[in-house]
Amino acid sequence: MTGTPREGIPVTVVGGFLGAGKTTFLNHLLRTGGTRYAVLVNDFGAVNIDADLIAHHDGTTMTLTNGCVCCSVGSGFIDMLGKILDDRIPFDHIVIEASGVGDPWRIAEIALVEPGLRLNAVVVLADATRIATLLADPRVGDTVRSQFERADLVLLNKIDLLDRAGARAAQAQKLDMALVFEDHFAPNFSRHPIFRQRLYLVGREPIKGCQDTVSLEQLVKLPLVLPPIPKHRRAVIDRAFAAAGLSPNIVAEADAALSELSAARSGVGYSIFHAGTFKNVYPGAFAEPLLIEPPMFITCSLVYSSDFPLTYAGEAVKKVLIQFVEDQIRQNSRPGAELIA
Amino acid sequence: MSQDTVVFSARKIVTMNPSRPEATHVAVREGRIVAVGSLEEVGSHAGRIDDRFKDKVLLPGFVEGHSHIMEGIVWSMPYVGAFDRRAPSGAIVPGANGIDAIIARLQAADAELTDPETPLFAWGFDPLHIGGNKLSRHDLDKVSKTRPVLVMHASFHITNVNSMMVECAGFSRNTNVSGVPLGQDGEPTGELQGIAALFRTFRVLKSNPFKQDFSAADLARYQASACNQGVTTVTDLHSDLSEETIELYRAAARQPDFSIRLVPALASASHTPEEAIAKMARLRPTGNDKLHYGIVKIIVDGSIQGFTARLRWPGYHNGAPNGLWYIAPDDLRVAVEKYHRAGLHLQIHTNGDEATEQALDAIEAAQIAAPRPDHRHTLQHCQMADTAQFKRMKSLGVCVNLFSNHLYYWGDAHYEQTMGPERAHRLDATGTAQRLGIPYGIHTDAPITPLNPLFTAWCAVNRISSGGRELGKATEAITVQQALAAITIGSAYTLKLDHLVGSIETGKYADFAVLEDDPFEVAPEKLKDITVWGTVVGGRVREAPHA
Repeated sequence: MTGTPREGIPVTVVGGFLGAGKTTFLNHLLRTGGTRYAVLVNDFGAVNIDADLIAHHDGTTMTLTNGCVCCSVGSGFIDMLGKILDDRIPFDHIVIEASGVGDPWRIAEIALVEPGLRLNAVVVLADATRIATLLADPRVGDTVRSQFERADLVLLNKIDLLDRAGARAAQAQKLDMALVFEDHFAPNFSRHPIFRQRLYLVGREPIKGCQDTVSLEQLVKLPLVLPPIPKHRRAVIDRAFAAAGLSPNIVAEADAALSELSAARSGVGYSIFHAGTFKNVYPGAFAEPLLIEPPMFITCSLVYSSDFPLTYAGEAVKKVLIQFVEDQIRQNSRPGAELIA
Repeated sequence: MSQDTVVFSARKIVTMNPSRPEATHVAVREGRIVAVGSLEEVGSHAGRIDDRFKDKVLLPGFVEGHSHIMEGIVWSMPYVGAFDRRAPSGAIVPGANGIDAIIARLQAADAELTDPETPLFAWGFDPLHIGGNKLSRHDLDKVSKTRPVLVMHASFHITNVNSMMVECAGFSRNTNVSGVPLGQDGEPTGELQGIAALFRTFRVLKSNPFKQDFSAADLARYQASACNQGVTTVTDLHSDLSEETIELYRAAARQPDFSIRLVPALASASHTPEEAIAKMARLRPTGNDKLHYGIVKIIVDGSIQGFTARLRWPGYHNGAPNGLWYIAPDDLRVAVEKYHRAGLHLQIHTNGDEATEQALDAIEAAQIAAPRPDHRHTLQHCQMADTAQFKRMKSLGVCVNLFSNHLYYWGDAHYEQTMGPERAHRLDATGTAQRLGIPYGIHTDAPITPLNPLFTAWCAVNRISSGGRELGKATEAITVQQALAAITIGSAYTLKLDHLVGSIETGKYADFAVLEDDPFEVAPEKLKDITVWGTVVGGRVREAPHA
């Protein structure tokens, strides 16, 4: 997508509609340390960077304790990006947060035409609890859909929220439907599986003797950073080890997926993930991911309450969302992902 | 009686005060009107009689409720639009109605530049106005092969450049971005748009013509343009209000010869609502009789002819995909409620009818959450609103400022391409606003179209496109009286300045448009041809240079 390799500061553009979790994502990124980021927020207003990261704040520009800078620029975006390039501060990476209604690809194109820059990736975030509703919203559906069209990586956020609170929300009819990675549901859920995804081993160092896959026997020798017990991914992993009569060496549990990745990145251990590549988030931080053998799958399903039949609009939303996810899977030709017809 | 009182006598004074529509004399003291009437009636105030306007017609100074300081900035560059346009100098710059005329104009500008490498910027181009003919890089190469040549479109969203600029920016047949289209020969056509192309271009040029840093000279040109057209109250309807801008406005507005009342609107897009509210609280007391703060501008969608406006079903007539939100509907609601609660006055840009609907929803929600009488939030442009939406405006206390100049400049494009005949006939529905009693103004959005309220009034009265097509004339046209009210007291009302300006009435500022002819005596189709002699602002006379 980015054409021939180019010199220059790598640029990652983070897009996604309002509430998709862009700010949370930025905080994770800035917290991981080691990389000197310049973060530009192409939108009005204050960026909610965690207070403990901020060393200095002058209204639009924040200097962070780890040498990163973060600024919200609104209409002065072009000038600010130019200034960063002119000042020749050796940033390792420029991250641009597109506005909630903006098309991240349009911003990414800057890195294709400016010799001092090189496009690393377009990462688009989506709130799993709201994406269905947004895609079917006649006012904003087309805007949301267009944000995904040229994404290198789509991250679904707030899946955890659904695992825990989905049933309750659905029962209260606060939630019409959602996309979840889940196999076991309370009986009052209907589910429509869309695709299943093999899990990968992700870590900083390559494993000796492993090319594309890693066996459970090899896995138990490695320190693992896993999600805590109530999480569905953990349940899948635990079941697989139990079936093989093995017990994993868990060195840490991390609540948020990005914390797991940070831990893996720092070399504390390896993590087991349903997304295969994080080179777009943490360039060069990880060895090639390995598919786990025998395969562990988690299934991505559309869920909705069985207690309340879907309305006509709800059925339409369901169709839109299924089509959308299937298109995403096909376009991104994600290794280890299989559509469920 | 006061020695300081000046009584202006005129052939006729059209007051726009319904209880005293006409007069011949107006007495002015300390910049304000002390009396209006016949010589006999103002006699008790008589000081010095000034009869320089004895053969002229005075109207309230025109109020331009939607224009930009950019009108002052652009005139530092050559104009290459298709229609005649009056420069701040007073000169009529003839329209360049074809590619050859544009090239000739640019060659003349090129010859005036001594340094062969200085970039040449021009503005005002619109292919729709010259039969769809595009301006290629090769056309512009005839202007210069040594300097970058950049021609900005009338919309300011697209720029055409020469090969020198294309090459300096490094654009080539291998460039693969949406804003740098390639021609049939596989090379960039020289048309540039969008953030990536602009970023690269400005970086190579080491300058950004869209940056809002302007000088006192630009502001002086803005005042001159206003005077030329009889405008005495004028907006700068989308400003970041940087400290430099604030200081420039503050200093200028304190000069006794500052010949406009300036109403800047803070751009919500450059601030959080909290920052904007704090900034306005700080700025409001710093205004004076010539500088009025209190308005916040929110842009909801793009433009109709650029296909970036948000339209309700069935969308664009030619099937183009729906346009862009500049703010998400849910964010709009949050912002409107915050500004509404803070007592600020909103001017909300909505071109397409879907954007209008969202703005009305947001105002309705804010009114339910925090009822506020007389908020006068105003929809700007609001070009596609239907009767149902106008009725909502009425019940919500919303004002509207309609973009009547679109009828002339883009009426044919709207009829044929953007919205089709039926919706084009109700474009900028002044008749509906009038019938329903919704407070409304009409505007130019200068420099998008020329700063010339009499022309705008002509558009609203005649509703005819540049191609000669009448659009909703039987149903949406307004009378000369109504149109003159729209460019004076109507617009003043939408700015919450109708207690100070917009009519010639005791107590108000002595702001007049001085005309050579009586707009009620000329034929309605000649309204635009009336010569403006100049203005009076706060009793101070400014004669426009004669073309």
